[in-house]
Formats: sequence, structure tokens, C-alpha cells
Amino acid sequence: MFRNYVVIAFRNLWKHKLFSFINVIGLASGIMVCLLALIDIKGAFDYNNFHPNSNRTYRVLTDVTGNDNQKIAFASTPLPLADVLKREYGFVEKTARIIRDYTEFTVDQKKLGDYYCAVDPAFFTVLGYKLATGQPATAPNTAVVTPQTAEKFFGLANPIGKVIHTKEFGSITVTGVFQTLPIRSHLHFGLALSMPTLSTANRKQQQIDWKQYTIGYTYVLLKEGASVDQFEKILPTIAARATKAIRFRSEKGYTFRAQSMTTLSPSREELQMGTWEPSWGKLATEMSVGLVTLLLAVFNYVNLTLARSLSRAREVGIRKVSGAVRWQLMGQFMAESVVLSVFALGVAYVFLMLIEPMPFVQQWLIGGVQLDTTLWAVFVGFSIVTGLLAGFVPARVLSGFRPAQVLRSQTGLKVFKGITLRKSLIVAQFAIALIAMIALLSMARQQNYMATADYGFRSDRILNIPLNNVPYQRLANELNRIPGVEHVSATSELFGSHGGAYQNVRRQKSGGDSTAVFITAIDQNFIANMDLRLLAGQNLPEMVADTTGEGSPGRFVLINEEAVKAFRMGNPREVVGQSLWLNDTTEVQIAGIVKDFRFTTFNWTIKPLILNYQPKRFRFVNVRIAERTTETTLVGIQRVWKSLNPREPFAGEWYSDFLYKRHSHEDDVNFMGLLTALAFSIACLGLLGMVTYTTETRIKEVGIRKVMGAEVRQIIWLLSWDFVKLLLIAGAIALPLGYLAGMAFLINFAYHVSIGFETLGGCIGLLLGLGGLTIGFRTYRAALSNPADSLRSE
Amino acid sequence: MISLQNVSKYYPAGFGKTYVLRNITLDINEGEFVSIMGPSGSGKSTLLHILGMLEEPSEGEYLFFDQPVQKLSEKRRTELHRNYIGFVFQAYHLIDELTVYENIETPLLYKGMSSSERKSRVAELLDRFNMVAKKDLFPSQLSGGQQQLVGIARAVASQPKVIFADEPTGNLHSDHAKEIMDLFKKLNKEDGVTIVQVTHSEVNAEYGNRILRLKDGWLESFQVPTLERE
Repeated sequence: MFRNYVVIAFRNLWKHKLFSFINVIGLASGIMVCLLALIDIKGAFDYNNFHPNSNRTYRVLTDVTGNDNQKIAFASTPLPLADVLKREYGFVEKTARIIRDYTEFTVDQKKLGDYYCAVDPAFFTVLGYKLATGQPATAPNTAVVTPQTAEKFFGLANPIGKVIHTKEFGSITVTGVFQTLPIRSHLHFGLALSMPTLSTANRKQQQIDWKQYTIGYTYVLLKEGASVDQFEKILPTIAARATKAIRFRSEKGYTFRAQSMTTLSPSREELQMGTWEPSWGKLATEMSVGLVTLLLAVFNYVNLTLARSLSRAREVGIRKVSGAVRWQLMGQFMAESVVLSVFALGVAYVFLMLIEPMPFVQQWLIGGVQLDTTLWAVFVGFSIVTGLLAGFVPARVLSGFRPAQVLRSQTGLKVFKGITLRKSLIVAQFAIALIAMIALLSMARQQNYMATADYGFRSDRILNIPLNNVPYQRLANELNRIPGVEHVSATSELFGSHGGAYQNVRRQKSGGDSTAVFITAIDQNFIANMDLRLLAGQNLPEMVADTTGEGSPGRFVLINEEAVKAFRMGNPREVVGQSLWLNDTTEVQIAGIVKDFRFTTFNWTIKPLILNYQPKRFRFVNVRIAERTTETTLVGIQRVWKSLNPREPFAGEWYSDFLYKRHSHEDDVNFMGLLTALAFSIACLGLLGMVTYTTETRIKEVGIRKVMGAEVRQIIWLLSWDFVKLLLIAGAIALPLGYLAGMAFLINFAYHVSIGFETLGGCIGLLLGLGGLTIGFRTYRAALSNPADSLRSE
Repeated sequence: MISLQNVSKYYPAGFGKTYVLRNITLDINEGEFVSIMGPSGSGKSTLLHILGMLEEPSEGEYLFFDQPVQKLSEKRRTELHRNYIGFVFQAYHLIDELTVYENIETPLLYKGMSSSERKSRVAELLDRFNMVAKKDLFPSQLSGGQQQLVGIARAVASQPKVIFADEPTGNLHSDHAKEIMDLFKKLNKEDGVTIVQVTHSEVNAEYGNRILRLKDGWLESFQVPTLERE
């Protein structure tokens, strides 16, 4: 019986090639998106797998109760906890503390920033980060590096025994190299420093301070056979003991609890100071995007199968009089959808291979996951379930035909079932596709706007060069000599990004309100170079820098209009000459007012800004280049760079390019564009199928109307109107919803594009255009058909 | 074996009802060959469908092997279809996606026969109907007469007690029609299968040993069993 089902399924699919093509492509697209999500879910469990004893390894979490009685969970713990656990409780085999941070390392006078973990010796045995060569770092001022960091720091040379320098910890010797870290790991770092390396007074204080619970993480390996309950029971006791002596300011207290390594990823709750494990929320979002796409394809299947019900009705009648009961027929129809769906899985895998190289896919979804047999079993199971679900509705409808009705010999039998359902499904498909399209277009337009908009400062023909320890004054002098260089200025921050450093500034030395202000260091050339306008007062006075390029900070500052408002200083002219206190001891005088410009991303409105002369903070030079001479000038600039800093490659970048890269997230938009395109093509294919079957059943009517003198135009309209109506309804539903979806994204930006006629009109135009083409393609052919063929009597 | 008592069939139409069959009382014995005749719209097909349990009568009682059909469960009725009843249609109604072999096999599948049993049964039928060479062809590759042969082979595959035939030769040339009618006759004679056919043609009706005439839903007369039995 089963073999019979499968054989019939294959023959049916083969016979109706358009139908099968539409469904296989649609289902494959939907399944592909689901596969991405499934792979990511599998990957989320890989996070826990490579640790040697993950079933008895725990991370301790801190539940902090705030003054408002809100409970907040932290992934981190006070550092002294580990010692108490190991010393006082026999069932604890090992404890490992980890402190994560970022710092700058100096290697051969190169300054390279990297993430590090400071770790206890047990880190190397409790967690599964294996060494490729060398020894674990246990002695003070030793470190183990990852292969990537080794290459970044030392090139191809053997890193073991090499020395790196840091400001905070002094010299550090490399004792070993990790194997390449698993991508699917909840900790990401370039180096593991031994815990005793953190030897400054401040760091030592942290290690005995029960009050600070955000510094580091505590991992505990229980002895084999130890009771987890007991461990879980003692944690609150320790917390109670520890917090008794502490007077908290902004919280009431905390308690501890254990988180098993086996359930660390995917995370069930939001943890402060969280590590890199993905959350259920992220995975659920991915899976629901996949399921929605798949649902669109399932709609097609339901739709087209019901549209063909006429041709299947007779078969149902025959089988019923041959003694088939309903469930047997349902089984047969569902076998068909399962065969189709398993076939679609194969095609989906091919699609998956095609989009695998996309950066978005690698970074966010499937990077570093192995497709093993379990995963394949899940894939196959998933596609079978999809097939069963897709087949269920049509199977119920089709198997419900009554033989006496469908087997009557008279022709002209009309079996149209579920017409309302089919129409609603088409409307739903196009509405979903259209909403996605409007939202995506708003997103893309906003990103493009941020990438190319006028920020109020000059961004074209400005070349930003990171200083990387080259003395600013020398570089500026050299650059000024190159023909084609118009201006050179310096800054601590590139505008149009996160805005840089900010602090509280007061108008009086002590007391009075303080205001949070962004402070950027510039030199006196900056204003002119970046085409900024002074509204009142003067530019920063010229400072004579000493030869090292490190002059003392100037007494004068510039502030923007917003700062004038924030300090409630009144008329700009009166502001000049007033003073501000950067801290208790530093008083500065306002030299001039700068017209407001957008120095952060468009997420924020313009904030108060202070510009002052602080050569120590300079990180970039801005070189303005004359219009004509760009090529030769660039060569000159690179030569200057090479002569001053032969070790480092030239890293200059056009300001406009920087803004573009910072704000246009092309990878993300591309991937989401792909999803939208999939949704749209699934909907169009479904429409094509529906129009095809409908026109086929009406071909005789077309013949009669033509014989009676209807024009091709009238016939196309007759056949198309029903479908055009559906598209219009879909548009009417999707426009307001799409507008809301787009606004939900745009609301995050203080300066954003509007969703106006061009977005909505463009999207609905595309919908009607593509939908219209799909409909017209079929109806035109039907309208051209020769009535003599369709009216020939059977 | 078949007994109708005052069976009527009507459909609601506006405020009243339209009668298709009125007060039919009728008995058919095992081994009979009955022809139902009448003009278009006289209710022949409806009567056949009621007899074949595809439709239910609106009034009256139907006994099939002394069981009241109206009271049978859906499951029991399906059982009867599997084991006691075969159908032959004017439009053949073969399944286009299945070969000749598979079409004949279909009722056996639903009967739950084992694979080897099915094989021998279908082989025997193919042999008997001279269709061995055509067993792997699809219906669209056969002539009308051949398709109807397959239809009959399918109907007798499960060795039913009664075959209901709805104008089995309606779409055929007279040569083919004669062939098919001879086959029915043979099945009736040699295998003892009861046959009830609906037909327009007096010639074909004569193959039966009793003719029922329907007009406007009334059963007009009994044809006294003829003596022209060979």
C-alpha cells in the first residue's frame, strides 16, 4: 500500500510539472531558511560540548536585588567566592576565575589592542580550551595566546618565549599557544593571562572585595559523585554570610546560584555581564522568520492542490467505491506532500550551499557548525513534518468528496472547494511580502541616508590617517609640504560615529548642576579644515607644540550651541569668555561658539560638545586634499607615512568612505533582501499557479466570449480582475502595517528618513507590477487561444 | 438479496421538494441480471446509486442481504463495498496515473490482500480478459472498449456478489458494446454474479432477464422474466 502511495505521488508530481516546480522551489526556499535556524540552534548547543566535564562544571551567577526590589541576574560573581568554595567545601574539586577585559599590547613597538582573559590555573583543565604547544600560564606575568593573536603579534615566528608589554601589567612572557578556539564558544579572547599578572593595587583590592560582583566569573568543577543539590544549597548561605558585613548603596543585596555548563547555551534568561552564548530569543526569532517563509510556501501548496481538486475528485470517488476509507485517502495525499517536501529538502540544501559564503550567514547563523548525522536526521524529520502539515488541509478537503457526486457521468461538474480560503492565502502571502519589503526598504534608506547625509562638517576630500604613535606635529609638518595638501588638522575622534569620550562638566568649581558633555580634542586647524562655522568668539589660539608633539592642554575651549543651551548661558555673545570646570581643578575658558553639527550617529540628537586642545589625545590627522591632484598627492602621503613609521602599513581612509562603511550595513541588508525576495517570489509563483489553473478551467468560457465578439483586451481584464483585486486588498492591508513596521525601526533614530510616497508607492508599484506581469502572462495567452480549439466538442 | 420498500428520493427545491424517485418497491434475487431503463432524468442513475449505497434514500427501507442499509455504520458500508459490490461506469473512471495492472489491483489493496495473493489474482484477471500484453500501459493509451474491459476487470477483482453498471456501453461503438455485454452475460452465467445495469438501449437491455422501466421517478412495470434463456 505504502509503495503504491509513493509511486502515485511520483507520477502525479511528474505529470504536473509546473505545479511541482512551484511547490518544490517555494518549499525549498522556506526549508532553507529553517535549515539556517536549525543549524544555528544546533550550534547553540555546541557551546557546551567541548568542555571536558561539562556535566559537573558550573558557573556561579549573582542575583542582585536592587533598591526598587527588581531582581537582576549577573553572569559574574565577586572574586573572593572561588577561594571560599575551594577552601571550605570538600565536594568542590576545582575553581577557576576569569576576568575579561580589553587592553593595548605593545609588541616590537607596535600597539595592538586585544581581548584577554585573566585566568586561574584551573582554567586550563576545567574549561576545554586546549593548548597546541607550550605550558599553561600560571606564573605571574605569563600568557597563552591564540594562534590568531600569535600571528597578529609575531607574524610567523614562534611565539613561545616572546615578550609583550602592557601599560598596566608591565612585561608578559608567552608560555604557550592555544589550539584554534572553537567559534562556538561562550568566551572569546586573544590571550589568557595568568591571574597573578593582575598585580596592581586596584586589581588586588578587587580580588578580596565582596562588594564588586561585575569584575569576573567563577567556574566550579564538582568532585565526581558530588551532590548538585548540596552545592546549590550552600551558595545562598555563602552569599548571606558575605553580604552581612557590606553596606550597599544602589542595591539591597545579592545571592548566588549555579548554572550548569550543559544549560549555559542557549541562555534562558538575560544575564548582565553576559558572555557570548546565544539566547533562546535570538534562536526563536530566526526560527520564526524561517517558519513564516515556509508558511508562505505551504500556502502555495494548499492553494494549488485545492485548485486542482477537480482533477483529483474523480480519483477519490473511484477509490472510495473500491473500498477505500477516508484515512487511507488522506494517507495517500499526505504521502504526496511528504515526497514533495523531502525532495524540496534536497533542493534547499543546494540553496544553502549557494548562500553559505554570505558574510551575514557565516557570522550570525552557521559559522563553525558541523553538519552531523543527528542534524541531518532533524532536517529529514523536519521536512517530513512539513510535508504532513502542508498536506493535511488539502487531504481533508479532497478525501471528503462524495463518490455519488463526482462520479456522475454528466460533464460540467464543478467542484470548487475552499475558494475563500485560497483567496485569503494569496492575500496573506502578498501582504507579508509587502510588509517585509516596506520595512526593509525603510531600513536600507535610513542606512544610506546615514552613510551619505550632510553631517554639517566636511567629509569629502578629507583623508583620515590614524596616528598610531607617530608624533602628530612631525607628521603634520611633513604632510604640509606635499603639493596638493590644503590643510592638515588633528582630532581625537572621528565624528559621525559614537561620539567619543564624555564627562560631567560644571559651571562652578563646586556645587551647581553638572551636565554630561562630549569632549573631543582638536587643534586650531580643525575648524577651518572641516568647514565648521564659528557663531561667536574666536578659534582656539595657536599653540606652539614642542618637538615630541605633546604640548600641554590649552586653557581655551570651543563649545557648540547645544552646550550653550545645556548650560543655560543665554545669548552666544555673552557666553564667550565665561569659564567651565572640567573637574575640581581644571578651569577652562570659552573662546568661541561652534554652530551645531551632527558629531554622533543619527541615533541621537545633537548633544553638548566641548572642543579643546589636548595633543595627548590626538588619534587621527585629517588631511584635506586639493581637488585635482588626488593621485599624486596620495602617493606623496604614503611615502611620508613610510618614512615616519616603516613598521605599520598606511591606514588612511577617506572620511566619506568611513561614514559609508560605518553606517551602511550592506551584508545585513543583502541577507534580509534575500529573504524578502524569497517571500516575494514564493508569492508570485503561487499566483502564477493559481492563475494558470483558473484560466485553464475557464478556457471554454473564453472561447464562447470570443465567438460572441469579445476583444483580447476585454478577455484579459475579465480573467485578471479577480486576481488584481486580491493584490489590491493585500496592498491595502500591508501599507499601514508596513508603515508601522518601518517606523518601529526608524523611531530609534533621532534623524531619520520618512516613509513617504516614494517608499510606499515604490513597494506597491513593484507588487502590482510583478503581480500584474504574472497574471498578464497567463491571461494574455488564454485570451489569444483559438476558440475553435476550446469549443471542439469532446 | 436486495429489497427496497417504498423508497423515495427527493431534494429540497425552494419551499418544496423535487422528487427524483417515488415509492420504489423492488426485489432483486441473487444471480439475476436486471436492466433499468428510462428516459433522461427519470432517476435511473439515482436508483443505481442508492442500490450501490453511494446515496441514501430520503424515505423507505433498503435491505441488502437482509441487513437494513440505513442503519449500517460507515465502516460496515465500506466493508460491503470491498467485498460485495463492484461498479462499472459509463466514463470508465480509471485512474489516469495508474497502469492497467495497478488499476485492477486497487480494490485488492483496500481489501488488505497480501502481495502474492494480489499478484496471482490480477494475473488471472489479465489472462481471462486477454490484457496481459497491455498490463503496463496507462488508460490514455487504450481504446474506449479496452478501458471499459479494465473497468470491468477492476469491478470483478474483489469477487463481488453484485455489479452495478451505469450505462457501461454508453460511450462505445456497437461492436465493442456487444463484446462488453457478452462479457457481463458470461459473468452472470458462469460466475453467478448478480448484475444491475442502467441502459438506454433496448438491445442491451435484452441481455438481462428482467427490465425495470422508470418514468418521472415512478417504477412503471415489471418485465416478466423472459423465456429466452439459452
